[in-house]
Amino acid sequence: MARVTLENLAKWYGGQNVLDIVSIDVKEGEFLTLLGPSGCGKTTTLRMVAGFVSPDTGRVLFNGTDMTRTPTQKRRLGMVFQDYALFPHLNVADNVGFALRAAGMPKADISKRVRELLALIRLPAVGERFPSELSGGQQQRVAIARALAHTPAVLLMDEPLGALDLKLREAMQHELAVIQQKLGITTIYVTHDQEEALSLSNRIALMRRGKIEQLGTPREIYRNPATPFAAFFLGKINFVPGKLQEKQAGAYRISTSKGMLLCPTKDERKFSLGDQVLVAVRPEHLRIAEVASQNGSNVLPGRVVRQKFTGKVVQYEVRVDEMTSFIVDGTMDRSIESDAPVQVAWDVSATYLYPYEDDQEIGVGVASTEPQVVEVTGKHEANTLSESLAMT
Amino acid sequence: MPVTLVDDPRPWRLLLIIPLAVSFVLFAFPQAYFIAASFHENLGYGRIGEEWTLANYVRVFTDPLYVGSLLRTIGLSALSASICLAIGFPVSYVIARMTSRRKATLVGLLVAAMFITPVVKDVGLIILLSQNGVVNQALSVFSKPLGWLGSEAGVVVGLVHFTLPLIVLLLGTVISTVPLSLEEAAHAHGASRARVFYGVIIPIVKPGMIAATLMVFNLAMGAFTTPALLGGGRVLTFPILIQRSVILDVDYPFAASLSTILLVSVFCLNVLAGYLMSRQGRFRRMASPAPAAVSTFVKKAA
Repeated sequence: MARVTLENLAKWYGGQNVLDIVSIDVKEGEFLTLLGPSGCGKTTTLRMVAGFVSPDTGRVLFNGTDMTRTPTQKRRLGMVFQDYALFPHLNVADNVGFALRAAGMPKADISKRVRELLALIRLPAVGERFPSELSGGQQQRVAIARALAHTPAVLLMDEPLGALDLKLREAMQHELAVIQQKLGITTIYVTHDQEEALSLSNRIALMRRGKIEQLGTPREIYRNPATPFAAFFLGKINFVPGKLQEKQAGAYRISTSKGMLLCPTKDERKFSLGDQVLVAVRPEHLRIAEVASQNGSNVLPGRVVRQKFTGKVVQYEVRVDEMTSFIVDGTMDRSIESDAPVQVAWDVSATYLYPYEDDQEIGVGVASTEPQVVEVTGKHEANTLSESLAMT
Repeated sequence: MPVTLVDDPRPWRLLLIIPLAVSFVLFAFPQAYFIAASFHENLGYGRIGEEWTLANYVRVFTDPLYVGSLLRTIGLSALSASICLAIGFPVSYVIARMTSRRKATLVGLLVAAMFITPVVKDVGLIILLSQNGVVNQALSVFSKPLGWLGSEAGVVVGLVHFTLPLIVLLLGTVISTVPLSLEEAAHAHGASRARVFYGVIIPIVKPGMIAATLMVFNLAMGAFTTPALLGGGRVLTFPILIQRSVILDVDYPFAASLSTILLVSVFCLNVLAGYLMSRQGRFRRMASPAPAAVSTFVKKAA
């Protein structure tokens, strides 16, 4: 087991900066997830730890020893791939024992260790079978056993559950968590699946465009997202643009197109009066109310334009103005008619505030009106459509 | 009324009758005819006798010229196929693992090289390998000029030159069926570069590698132009002896028996190789270079 330190890693491919100064300190026995959309640099970072990619600048250290120029096979790694990468010409026992044979362990010890690992992954009877005779889930468990056989310094996993279907993925998540806790191996895990990241990790490094957007425990990032993108990528979020009008005791007053909103002041970020800002709130903190104003709450008027039944909750889409829609998590026991005027309310304490920046990827800026333009259902929307067309 | 099935394949199979008929007329029928001819007496001036006889075969197997030639042909073909494999494997590996646009260019050049007639290739080689040619001049530092032309060495060089593009294409298809992640998994779990090669890549591609080598071997066994031009009449391979008995001796039955022996020995060697291969145990995800696979390899590159 090792502590893994990534120091100022950067990489350019053909003039493009795919990794831009990434530094992470992975503690001994920690489960760290590199999370982000495709092309964010998470896989490149993992491959640098593995030694498949050399960083242009920066260092990779295991327990303080510089490994940047150490070849992959000398790094004592365990690695799990999305496509399992089991050796098709070797049976399961030989696959699991691969690293042990490469290290020159005596045969008797290898077969003993292989039996232990097959018991660990709860597949004690498949040793003689070939990978192609196993199901996807079984193959991935064998791949995990192979990665753990030689007690690696670091376990690297590159979207290991990506090829499995939903139910199996959930079962495997649980199994992975149990095995990792039992063995306490330092693990770096790459995924684009936020739920997987939230449920498995000790800490998450949320990445975007080759940079770390936020590094913290799942709770920290979810409760206190440092950037609009962090708020957008983990969980769901609604944004309203506005302008900072006034600083009160413990709260900012922000003017939006439909009224004033309050936002708690936090120490880490300073805003000045007149700044363009982005107010953000999660759907689960919103409620649909009939009464116009409540103490300690932010309220915006709107109209329900659509509702989506997802099983656990009903998601209401509430149009606040031409540019802004809110997603509100509601329950089934109250039915709200479409096109009904409503008030969207939430506690001031659940409000996040960010400096405003156009970012179409997360639905802030010009492109955010587009989905509403496409779905025309009534007279009200027909007006919006023509307005939007006039705008463009 | 019979039920019509939308997925009934039978009407389409009727289309196969035409190619079947064509192959029968152009391939099976002449083949059967010359095999039959090999069991008859030569009456001279291209006439074939009525009587059935084994005399042609007795003559082949009792004359050291023909037995020696058969063994020499097998030896030279095996040698050039092995050299092709040794040179071709690294090249195909590099091409198969390439991701840049240059891959398409290289595969295109290979295909083009494959379709150049051996006559043209051999003329080039004759110029290079002649007494005062480039090769001998380059080697002059170490030795006196070597007689490449008219020697077995020259023929092997020619055969390798002739079959190399094909084996590179065939091996390329086989190697590209091995996912890169297998190599990475082996590296990550402590295998050195050599161990990855001998312990992972070779065992997985082995069936395809043997098939590709056999194809090259078969081409070399039947090659006429290259031994004729580079052997200069002094390296008597089996196809050259066949040509001589047809053109010089006008002995069709004897030429037919030589052809039959070449056909049967190539067939037997391939069956033997296949049998040895199948005894290697259970092969999973068998990688073998079918012609269709070659075309997809070419397409992928393009």
